[in-house]
Amino acid sequence: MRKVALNTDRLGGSLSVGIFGIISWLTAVTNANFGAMGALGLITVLRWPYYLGLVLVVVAFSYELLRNVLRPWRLTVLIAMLVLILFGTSSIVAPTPSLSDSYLHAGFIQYILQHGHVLSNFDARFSWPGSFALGALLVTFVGQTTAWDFLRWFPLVIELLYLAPLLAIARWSGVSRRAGFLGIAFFYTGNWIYQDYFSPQGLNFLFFLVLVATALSLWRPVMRVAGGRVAGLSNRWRITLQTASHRRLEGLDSIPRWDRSLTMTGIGLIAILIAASAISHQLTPYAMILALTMLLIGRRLGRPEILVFAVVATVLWLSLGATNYWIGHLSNIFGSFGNVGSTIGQNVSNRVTGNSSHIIVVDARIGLTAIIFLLAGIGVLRRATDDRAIELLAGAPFVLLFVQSYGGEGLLRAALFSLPFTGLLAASAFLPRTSGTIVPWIHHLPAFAMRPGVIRWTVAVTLSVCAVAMTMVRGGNDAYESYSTGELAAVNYVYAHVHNNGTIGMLAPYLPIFQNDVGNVSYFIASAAGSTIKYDITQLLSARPDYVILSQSQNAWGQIVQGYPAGWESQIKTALLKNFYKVVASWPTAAVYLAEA
Amino acid sequence: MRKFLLSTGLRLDSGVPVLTIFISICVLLIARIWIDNFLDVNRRATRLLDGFVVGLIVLFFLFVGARFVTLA
Repeated sequence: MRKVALNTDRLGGSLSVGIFGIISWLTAVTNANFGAMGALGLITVLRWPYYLGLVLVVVAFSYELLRNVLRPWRLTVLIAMLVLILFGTSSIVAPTPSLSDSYLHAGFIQYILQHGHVLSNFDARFSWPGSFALGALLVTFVGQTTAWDFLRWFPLVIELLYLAPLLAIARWSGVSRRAGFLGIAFFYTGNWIYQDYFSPQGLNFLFFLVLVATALSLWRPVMRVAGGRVAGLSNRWRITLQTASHRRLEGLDSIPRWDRSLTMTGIGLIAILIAASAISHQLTPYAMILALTMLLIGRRLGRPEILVFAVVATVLWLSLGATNYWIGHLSNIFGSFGNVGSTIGQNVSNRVTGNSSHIIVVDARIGLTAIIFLLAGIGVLRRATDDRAIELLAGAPFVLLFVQSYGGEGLLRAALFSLPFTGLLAASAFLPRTSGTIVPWIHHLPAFAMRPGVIRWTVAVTLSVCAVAMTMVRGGNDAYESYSTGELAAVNYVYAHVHNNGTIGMLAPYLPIFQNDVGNVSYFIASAAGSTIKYDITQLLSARPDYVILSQSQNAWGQIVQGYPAGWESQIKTALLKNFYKVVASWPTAAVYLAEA
Repeated sequence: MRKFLLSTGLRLDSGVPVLTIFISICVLLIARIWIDNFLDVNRRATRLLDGFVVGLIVLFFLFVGARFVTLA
């Protein structure tokens, strides 16, 4: 029978459809008006051509994924197109780089470039300076004087770099080839967590992915049941009990895929990644330790020495290199040990606040993550496999919540470290592997659900929903985390005029600031001082910073996150003028106030 | 505990013992992997090496613990 459903070959092939999608997307983003952004963030400035472009790329990918003959290169190109749309939009639409933290990291790099060393007792992040030192090296290498040029496009570039280890993880994880590509698509459409801005965690996540990809490609599991299959509750339980066997922990249940010299090279690469991560980021080394532990238990790590090295290197840096961070503040590290309830409270409940549009965005974030984890649960039940390493890797990061709340961000980070593997499991819900020594819990679905056309459309619709939701939730904070040129000009004005040891005041840390004069200038952030600044700026006035910057982004933050009424910032302006501040420079989106002598 | 550790005069806060032990552990771990992959030696030799590594790791964590106690 002649097939009529979604035959894109007649339209010139999936790549042509993808290219049409990219053209449609380009039309949308080049015509987007950043100044008209509303409380829901990025989606308020995107028009229908954006969604048309996104859906065309997703449909082309879904078609290509379920062709009779798999074409990996085409799928890879279509995923790269998806990444371009999902992670490049904000960089094109916003006139300046987003997130004040990325400016702060550029400031740290600037300090290293100017002084040749880090600043002691200044910021906890300076106790893990590896990424900043690498940044300084790169800035010098490309002949620049600041890291500014890296900020704007870093999210897109680093997400594209993630693609290489993700392809290797998908290839060697034990899921089917098609599920591997779909899993990568789920990773990108679920990665709203925004840890890919110019930051050590963005770079270290790449290290994490390369480490897992290397280990998965180096070792494969020893078959446990010769010629047999693991099925039935009692059999599964008996096999599970072997997990903690001495043999398993010695790495003897895994065997290398390659010759000795290649294996040794891989081990060397893993060791370098661990050492680099131990000095670059506070959290990633612990995620690596958990991942290595799970790989060992899951019969995908043949060298337990690597795990020992990771533990020793991480503790060594904490003990020696990060002394500035923990002396006198050990409770910062161990204070939240075991308080999972309060950690989840900090991570979830405290975020569901603000006005109605912000709550919609936060609810959508929870919903999108829940969909992918729910699909992953179905994938676990449907897939046949030889080992359960992917399930273990997906669950392991959540152990971090028992140890550290990580300033209320632990759950987000755990979800991010889990996502590459959760994505693969979610893909297995649609395209499960059918052969393996461990048989699936759910064997059969109704006949209509197994037809390729049905699977293709189900995949296309699910991915489209996730991709559109991703656009909404990832750009949901852009109304106050993306900045106008006026705000940047205001900050530059202040840096040009503030004297050494001067203080710059602001209502909330939502400005393109912190990139200059690290250590020479101090900052007073009213929202961090503990008072409800809508009603009370006495702390700001008594701190009496030399300059105060008021801006559109801070105003938007008050309305969206704090639920303040429109125009709340005008009360602050009046209070500043009454208390001997004067306006020295202003732009349509920002104003600079100077304390009169 | 803190007073006792400081009275030993071992200068635990200098970090030198921790660094020395760490480097020793690294060297032994690399040696063990290399021996296992490239040399055909008997099981007893690698067991002996394992003993050294485990001993050094215990020592490492003792020194690290002492450093936290003396400095925190």
